[in-house]
Amino acid sequence: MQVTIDVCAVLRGCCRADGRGFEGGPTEIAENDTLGDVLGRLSLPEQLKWIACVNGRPSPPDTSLSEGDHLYVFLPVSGG
Amino acid sequence: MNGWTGTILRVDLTAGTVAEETLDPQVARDYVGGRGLGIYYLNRELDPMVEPLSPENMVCMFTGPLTGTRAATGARYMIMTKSPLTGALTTSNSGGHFPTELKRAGYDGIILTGRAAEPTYLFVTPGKAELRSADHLWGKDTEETTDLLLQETHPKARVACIGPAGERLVRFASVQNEKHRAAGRSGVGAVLGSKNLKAVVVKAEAKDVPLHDPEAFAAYHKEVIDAYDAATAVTPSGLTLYGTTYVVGHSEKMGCLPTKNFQRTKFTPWEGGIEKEFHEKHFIRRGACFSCPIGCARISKVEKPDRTLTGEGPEYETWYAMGSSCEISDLASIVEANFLCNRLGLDTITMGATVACAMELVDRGYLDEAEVGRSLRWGDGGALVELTEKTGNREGFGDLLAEGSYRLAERCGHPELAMVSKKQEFAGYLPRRLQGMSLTYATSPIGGSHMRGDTAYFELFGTPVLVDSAAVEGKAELAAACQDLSTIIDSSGLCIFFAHRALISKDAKARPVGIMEYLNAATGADYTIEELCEAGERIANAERRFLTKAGFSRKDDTLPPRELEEPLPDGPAAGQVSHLPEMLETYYQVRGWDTDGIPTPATLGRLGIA
Repeated sequence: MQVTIDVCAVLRGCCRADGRGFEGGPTEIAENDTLGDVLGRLSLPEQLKWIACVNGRPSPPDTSLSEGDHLYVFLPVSGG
Repeated sequence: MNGWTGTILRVDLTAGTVAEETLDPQVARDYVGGRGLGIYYLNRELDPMVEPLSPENMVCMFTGPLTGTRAATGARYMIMTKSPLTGALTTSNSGGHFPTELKRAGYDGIILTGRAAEPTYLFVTPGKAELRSADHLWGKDTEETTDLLLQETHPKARVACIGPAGERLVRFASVQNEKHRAAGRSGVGAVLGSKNLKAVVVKAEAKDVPLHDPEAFAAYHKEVIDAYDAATAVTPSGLTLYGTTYVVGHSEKMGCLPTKNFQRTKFTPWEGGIEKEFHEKHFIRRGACFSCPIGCARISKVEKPDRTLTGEGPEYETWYAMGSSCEISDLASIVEANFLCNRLGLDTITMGATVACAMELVDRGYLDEAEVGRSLRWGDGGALVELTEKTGNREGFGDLLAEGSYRLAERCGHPELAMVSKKQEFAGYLPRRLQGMSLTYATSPIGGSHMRGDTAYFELFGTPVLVDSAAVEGKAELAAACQDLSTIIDSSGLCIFFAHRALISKDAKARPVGIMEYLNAATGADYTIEELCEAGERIANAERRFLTKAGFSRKDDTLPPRELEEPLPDGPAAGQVSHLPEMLETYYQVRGWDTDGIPTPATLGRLGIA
């Protein structure tokens, strides 16, 4: 199934152990993938305390996903 | 005294006199500084029913005990008065370097009363302050004014001044320091303009502020900076890399970006993100306030056919108000309008939000473009720039825009289309997306402002923790805690950007634990956390007391119908409305106020508010 993955600007360059970064966008995932499964493939640095939301709601790693879900990963931020 | 200087300047503009006055140490401890001292003196000396643009209004400019001390982000001050935009209190905040200079010149603050007979400026040096003629400056923008004043006083002085907007009593005129730093909200610049006070110039000699325990201060400061450096070792913070522009994309992805005058949440015209386009086309370099490890300021430029304009910003609030809320995607127009606001001395939030309101009034046929004097359609960046210039000079339709969105919309028969509380335009967070912000906007002592209790830190940013933005339960307590915290941050002289990240408890209680460490080392006040939290509650209640004596009550703690009744049409929170009515009663109980939102005698007595 297809979900959309968004990663905040600061994290884009940090994603993926190969250093290629991750721009985000529509992504095919397996039907039974959880949020944690998807984020695990992004290779986000463990030292960073990032937060993941599904459809705008903060969600734990075992969250089940559905077709069309919007996943967004960000670092806690100040400002505005 | 340490941290505090113990001295306040009293300026009677009518009599043309300046005198020094001692700050009572107990008052300093009870009200901390900055915003707290401002409301202490306003409650003591100002009739809350005063006409804001009359000589009887009073202006307090106060630093905090940490301003100028090298505490991380100890760079801020407050300007407080009765607002010509809202008729409520205003507490307007700015950073940069002017506040530090005032403190190092030996003054905790300045109290201004009366009205000068002619355009005037105040020049402050250690132990001396004099009123000088500003005839030659009147009519000049803030950049020219600053440059001229530096020439005639001292090249390293610091200047806070008004521009043509303040002189012409635009209801949301700002006070600019270092040209590009703004005490922006609620028309403090108009109040100075009504007093014929063009500027305050300060030149200190001291290079530091005396501290109670310099070793303890240095040790705690090192601990704070080391922790910040460790947290940003893998990647710098978004604020450092992109400034507050960074928040635009985050807010949009979380369904919180006010779009088309708060009608929608989705606005994504910038391929790759606004921060990428801004940095490629307009960014020159970073900047920072005094003693700030973040450095969120953006020095920027916009190319015109015959010249290059440079300045600072825009910030997130400007991107929302002049960008998404007007559906303007042309960054150059927004940058230029932002620069214009700084030069003319205008609040960018109210300016943009008022244009957005005007766009909707035209769109719905409630305002004729013939009256505007030009076309005014969603997305028209050229209109934004032209109308900003006209507003700052009160020319043509700009004379109506200068009254703010509420008065404009009311005149067109549709005040409900102004996205305001207490007649001040909201910041860039949709109230019906963040239930806590619904409450803090509605009950803010200055009207629509995110900076008088920013639950968005918890509901949107995850700093220090993320709470469910849709939840109603617990939001009364969160709103009150954030409001009390904001008074301590503003009273101490710190910046919320750093304080929320690094100086408060790592939970949803918002206790100023790190601020307490800095304050005790700087001042020797020996606060417990309970005492400091109580000081925050005292300041918040003192502000509420002023507000209620100015005629405000429960009837004013509200939001526009759009927020209360129109479900969000898009985004992750589609279908959501503000649940303010459900939360307000609980909030009053948490606050110790009666059902009309008036602080009870028991609450005021407990807090020592006369």
